[in-house]
Amino acid sequence: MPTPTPTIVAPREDKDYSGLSITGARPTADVINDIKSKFPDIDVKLKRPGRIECNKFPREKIIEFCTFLRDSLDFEHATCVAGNDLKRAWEVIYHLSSYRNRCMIQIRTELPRDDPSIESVSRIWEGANWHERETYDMYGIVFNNHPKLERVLTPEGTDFFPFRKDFKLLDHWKIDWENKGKRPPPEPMVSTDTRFGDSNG
Amino acid sequence: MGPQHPFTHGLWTLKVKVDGETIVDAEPIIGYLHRGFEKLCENRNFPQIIPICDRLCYVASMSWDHVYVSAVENTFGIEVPKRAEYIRVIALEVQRIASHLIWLASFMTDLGNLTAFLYAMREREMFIDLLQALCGARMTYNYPRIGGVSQDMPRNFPHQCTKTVDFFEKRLKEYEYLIEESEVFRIRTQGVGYLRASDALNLGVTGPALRGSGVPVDLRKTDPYSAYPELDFEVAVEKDCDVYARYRVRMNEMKESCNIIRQALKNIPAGPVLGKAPRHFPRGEGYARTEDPRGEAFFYIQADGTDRPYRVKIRSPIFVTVSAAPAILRGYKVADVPSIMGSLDMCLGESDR
Amino acid sequence: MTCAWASRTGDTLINYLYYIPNTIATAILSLLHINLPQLNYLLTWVIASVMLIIVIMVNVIIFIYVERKELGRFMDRRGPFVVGPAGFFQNFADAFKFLIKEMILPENADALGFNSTLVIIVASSLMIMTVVPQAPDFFYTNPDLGLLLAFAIFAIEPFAVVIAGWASNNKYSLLGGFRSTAQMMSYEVPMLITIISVVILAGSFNFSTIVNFQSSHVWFVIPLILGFIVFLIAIVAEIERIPFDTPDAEAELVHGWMTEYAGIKFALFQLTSYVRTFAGAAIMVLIFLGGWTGPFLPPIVWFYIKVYAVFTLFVWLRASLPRVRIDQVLNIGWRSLLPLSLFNIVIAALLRISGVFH
Repeated sequence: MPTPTPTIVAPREDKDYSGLSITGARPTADVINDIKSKFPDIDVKLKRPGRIECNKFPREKIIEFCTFLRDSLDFEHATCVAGNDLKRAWEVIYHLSSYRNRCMIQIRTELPRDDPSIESVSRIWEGANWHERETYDMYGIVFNNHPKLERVLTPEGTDFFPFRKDFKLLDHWKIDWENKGKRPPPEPMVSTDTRFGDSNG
Repeated sequence: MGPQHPFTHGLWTLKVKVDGETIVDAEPIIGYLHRGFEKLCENRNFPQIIPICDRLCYVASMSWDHVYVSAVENTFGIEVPKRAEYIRVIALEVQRIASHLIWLASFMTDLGNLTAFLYAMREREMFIDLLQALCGARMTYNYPRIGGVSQDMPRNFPHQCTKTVDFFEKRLKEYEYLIEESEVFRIRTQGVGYLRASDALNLGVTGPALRGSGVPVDLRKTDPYSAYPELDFEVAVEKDCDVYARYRVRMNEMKESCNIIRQALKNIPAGPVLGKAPRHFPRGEGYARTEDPRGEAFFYIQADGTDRPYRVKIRSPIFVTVSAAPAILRGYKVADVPSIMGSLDMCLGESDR
Repeated sequence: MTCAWASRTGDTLINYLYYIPNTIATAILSLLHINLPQLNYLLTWVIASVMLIIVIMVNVIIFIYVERKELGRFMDRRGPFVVGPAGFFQNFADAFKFLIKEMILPENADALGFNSTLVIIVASSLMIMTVVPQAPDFFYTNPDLGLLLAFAIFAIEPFAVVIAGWASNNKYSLLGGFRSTAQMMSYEVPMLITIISVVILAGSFNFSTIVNFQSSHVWFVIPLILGFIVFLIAIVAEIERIPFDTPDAEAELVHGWMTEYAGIKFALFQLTSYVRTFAGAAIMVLIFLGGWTGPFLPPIVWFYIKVYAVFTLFVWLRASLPRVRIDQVLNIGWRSLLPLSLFNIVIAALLRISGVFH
């Protein structure tokens, strides 16, 4: 029986990952010390074993910091990139995890209200690519140097960002709990939705 | 291909650029099932979110309930009784087997073998019955509660569970005989869909696809939660990096799940099943990540002191795995698309949210 | 009267497929007081054709029913059981459903190619059975080169399929059409070479001679077991059943070259695939499994017993194997089956030369 051979053979030589997450784990406190010695002015603290927190991270340093995390501290995996609308500012929350050191870091970065843009980390972890696209899709936060910053969940050509706090929901579906469950009278939708084309042609 | 195409289990499109029958480039397009899930969560109070978490992925509802509930518990530091943790582990592992069986069914249909589909569905029925005995529902369970589970397991449940698991292990051998012994299955899967370990890590692929590439990462082991630290089990890893390896990983995981269920039933302590949950939720933020049947499930919650979360972020394993699909597909034949995408176990409910 | 389907092998036997139509035609013409031998000839021919088609269709309906039931048993379910006794009329219900559906012609399709291929495929598939005898007393024609002719007609379909795939103006159809053609062409080569080995032993292309030779010696499946296996694989590929149903692999090409055909056209194609299955099984029975020979029972009964046994084998294959990829299909055809079939010829020739068969 002839064995199938794909036309483009992927490069097969690779590092050995069979010991990953089994041996060589460092205590989380060591990881924090490393971060502190490299970036002394960043507020890093231990939440509980295996969980690191980093609040109010300056957005200019994100690429430098993430590269350091990946290359020196074995943060192989970008779990999640989330956006948030704090009303006074925008926020991007990174969750990065290290399989080798069995720890996870949470980085919260605030962006000014009038300039929601930050450097993209999808060059460091390709897995963050679609998370950043989704954050752009939902909040309108722009990731600079992203390979393909387009809508991913909403249709192309949507001109609103649905997860922003000032996005009005369809009000007649919202029940007014303070008013003993009475429904307010329906209001027209505020945002302009052009997904279905112009009815006038 | 898609959104209405037999190989898309769910609604999504794969734009494939081909040269003859060889794939030059591929681009997945998702979002047909987008329901604004995270926004939906922001407008419901904490206990109300549990039933809608069922709808994230109806094949593995229990896992999504669990990850949400444990995220809330992490956020507010709620203690869970030991017995509830064990019941959760049993429910999760039963759910994992059921989910993997659905995967096996759809994967074998993609390869053109309808017999394995019906066999796998038949066996899944037994595990759905188990979950039904546990919580009364067959698909959308709404079983875990913040601080425990909704009710204790029925009195004959351990007996029924052991019987089912023993029977299933025999059946699993039958499947291996039906599927693996077939030369046709092996030439369809071996050497197809090669995904290097370093690429898999970089692309954020998790779960069986990552373990199929030889990376022994299982969050039940590396970042233990619930009652898993007290249980003894092995992580299924294969080094071949192809579709066959992912298939082997899932088959071995089912065996391990049987093992875990047996252990958990043996070690389960007595006691209450529902701890104290606060009536008013303070400010705070927290997250939880668990090993879903499909990979790393992650829930991030920000609470602002009201009864509703301020921000909820869900990391779906399939959302990231789909984005990695072009890298795996490039260079293979059109006929390999169902085989490769099938081996990734698509579930659009959770990736579109 | 010298006509093509007069009994050739046993003069003592009546060919029912000639005798019954001829009787009917004669009766009709005598009732109408017409005495034209040419008209009698024509009418006999028409009635015989209709009879053959009825025989084929009844068999196809039973085939579909048997396949559903057997597949159901293989898969641990019951198969159809609601419509009619034990679900037998399910096929009729399905056919009726197809009949009342709209016949859709895609907007950008080439109407001539789209519709004419339907006629070519259905007609050519029905034609195969005209040269395949079912029993010494039940055959349409029995030409000297029957075996070769049967496969010549078998080979018409690929051309029509590629036209159908092209005319549908659909990517899946086109790919399916190409696949179908490539597969059939590559599998015809080992199949025909295998046939040669049978012919070497029997010394004739005539089905009756081959069957008679087997009944006087031994079934060819025993000396030519290798050839039998090659032929089995090749015929499964030729009639496009799982594991070689790549041209209409529903997982990747929605329904291959049949994607754009709707309603009764689709039903006819499905029917055609079963007609070809019937023909393939019949040829296999005739050249390897001793044809209609067997003790006690009449020849036609033995023939059908064997045909259904072979068909069960096809269903079994379908139930237990996944689908092979198209390039692997071609690899198997050219790299494995072709050398095996050539080796099989050597075996046949050696048997012939050594005088075991004479």
